[in-house]
Amino acid sequence: MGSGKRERKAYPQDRFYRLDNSAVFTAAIAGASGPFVFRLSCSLDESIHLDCLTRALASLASRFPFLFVALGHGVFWHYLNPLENPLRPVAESPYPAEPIRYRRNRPLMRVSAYGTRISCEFHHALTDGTGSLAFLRALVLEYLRLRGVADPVGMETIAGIPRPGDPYDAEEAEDAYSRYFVRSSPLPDPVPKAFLIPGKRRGKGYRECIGTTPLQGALALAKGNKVSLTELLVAVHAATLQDIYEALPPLRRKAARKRVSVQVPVDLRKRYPSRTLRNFFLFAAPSIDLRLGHWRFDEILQRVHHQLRLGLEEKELLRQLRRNVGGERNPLGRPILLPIKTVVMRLINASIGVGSYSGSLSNLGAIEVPEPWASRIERFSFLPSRAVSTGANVGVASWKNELYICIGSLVRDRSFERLFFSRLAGMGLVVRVECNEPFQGGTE
Amino acid sequence: MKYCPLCGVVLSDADTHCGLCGSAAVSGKPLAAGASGPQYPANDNTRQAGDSPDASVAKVPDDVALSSAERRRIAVELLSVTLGIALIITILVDLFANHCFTWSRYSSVGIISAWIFSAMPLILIRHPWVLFSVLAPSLLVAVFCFMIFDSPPLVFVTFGLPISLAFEASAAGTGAILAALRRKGLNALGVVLCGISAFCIGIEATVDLNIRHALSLDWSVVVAFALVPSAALLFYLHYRIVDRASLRKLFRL
Repeated sequence: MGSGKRERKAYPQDRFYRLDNSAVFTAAIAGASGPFVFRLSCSLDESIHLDCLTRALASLASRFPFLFVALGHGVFWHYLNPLENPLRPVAESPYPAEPIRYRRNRPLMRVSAYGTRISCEFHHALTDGTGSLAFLRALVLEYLRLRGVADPVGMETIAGIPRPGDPYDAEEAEDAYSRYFVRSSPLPDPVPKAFLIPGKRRGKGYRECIGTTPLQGALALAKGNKVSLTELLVAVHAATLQDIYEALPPLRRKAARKRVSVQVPVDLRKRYPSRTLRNFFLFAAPSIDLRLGHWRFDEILQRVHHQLRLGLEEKELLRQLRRNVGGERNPLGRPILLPIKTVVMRLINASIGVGSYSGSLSNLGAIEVPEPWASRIERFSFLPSRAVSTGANVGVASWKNELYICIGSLVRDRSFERLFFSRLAGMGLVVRVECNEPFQGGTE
Repeated sequence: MKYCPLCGVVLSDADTHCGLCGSAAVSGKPLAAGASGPQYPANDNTRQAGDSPDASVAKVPDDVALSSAERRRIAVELLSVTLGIALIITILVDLFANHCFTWSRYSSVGIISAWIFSAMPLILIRHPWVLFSVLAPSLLVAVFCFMIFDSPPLVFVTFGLPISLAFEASAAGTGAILAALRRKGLNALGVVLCGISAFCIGIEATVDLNIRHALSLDWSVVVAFALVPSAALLFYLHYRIVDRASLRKLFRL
């Protein structure tokens, strides 16, 4: 919290939060082609009671004050301004993860309800997958408590899930990047441009295809290949992109970029102790070079396995921290006015960010909620942010005995989803696929 | 039980319309999960007549260990040591070189004034009027010392004293207005610009009255014409555009 002691006493409305290092960048470069808005959903075993959801949401405002904010424009930096009005649930949009416009007192988070589902959409300037999941679990627990699912006797802290009555933990709002920044680290190597899914992008809408497969089967498959589940899915992602590349007509294939790279967010909390619920992640990016010819799946799998481990090395992560945090702390950049800084950051993103990765795969891991709440929850799903450049991205979460693989796509053609899930099915997994836009034949 | 036929959420019995989409509430029981209702809201690509969920079609923690009072105390100590060393060295050098106080008189007054004007605000930060009552005579004494070294006392009385008083009056007025502001944002910068304008007018008025024996404001009016509209723009930005955001927010202090 950036407000001083004297001023905070007199004028609490002058409170604000600094953006964390990742948010500084995402707030500046977010736009229609990359809104940096992702969605987490939780489906229950009964229709949502709007009154209870509204009350549960209101009760969490004091526990997660850094999420109930709007983006403000300062002279040199953006800042997060606490909302003046309580956040209320909205109707679920048929077009998920729509951009969030920066307006006065407009929240950077949407909470919606549809049927049995509670959905939370977050701007990445607020938090990452871990922080958003912490909020959604707290919201669902509080909602279920209001619906009459009682707390077990003596269970004060429930599996680390924050409750409305808990005191606000200031460390949850810290910019953890700065804490682990090492100025002497070298910058990361430049990344060449990568192959992108060809085809027209949709101007409106966002297709969400969720493939559901038994978790044990997927884990057994990964274990059989001596890799982790994330590595297996990243390899499937890369192999799918290779399939798309090889299916191109010769002339287009010749013109296409020859490097497939999948961006994999890494939760830094597992490496650096931090209780922050703001952004605290970096990327590893396994890649294959298509100039070397066709890659067999086992070759891709081995490459992904080793590259991910190399990318997760602490010293490699420190290089990324040096680039990101060092850029924010650059004494030449700090006094530049925000509008100019925004243009510069967009130019940097256009030159070295957009097009450097073929897609992204984000795995939230196994979501845990204790009983008796768990039995009331049908499933969780995670829809990654829209991105015009990559076209399709993958979000993964597992709940109970099911693995939910959610592909969000702006590409008109559905080849990526079809090839991705059919490759999984070809490995022996039973995959049930559902989509927010059922295929109706013809061209879209 | 009332529910929304479009959103599929259960409403309270008092609700006549859905709080999410505004549709008229319907009495009955919505279908639970696993039923054959649509799993997603209809969009332009999927919308069909009668689509609805139950239709059958579908702080940053301050890790800094020191409190602000402790930081201030350390700053005062550092200032005292640094300026004290500078004071002693300049006096000794002057004495060794000239065997009497020559130029070190100026440096000594400057260093002592620097200590007063930098350390006193840190010491008396919570007592602004006490601070002013210390700094105001200190400024007069400093100006007097500087002028008395080279000029007769009359110069101080005619120029030094009025200009110093104009400065102190401008600073006091500006400070009082700033203290009275409920929200200090760009409006604070506007007040400072107005204070600078008033001080410039005070300087020119003093010079005019002592040299020309008549008030003929020229350059200070030009300065005021430049600064006052800028201040007005800052007031407008503060109260209408950036919603009275504080300087802490705007400059991420």
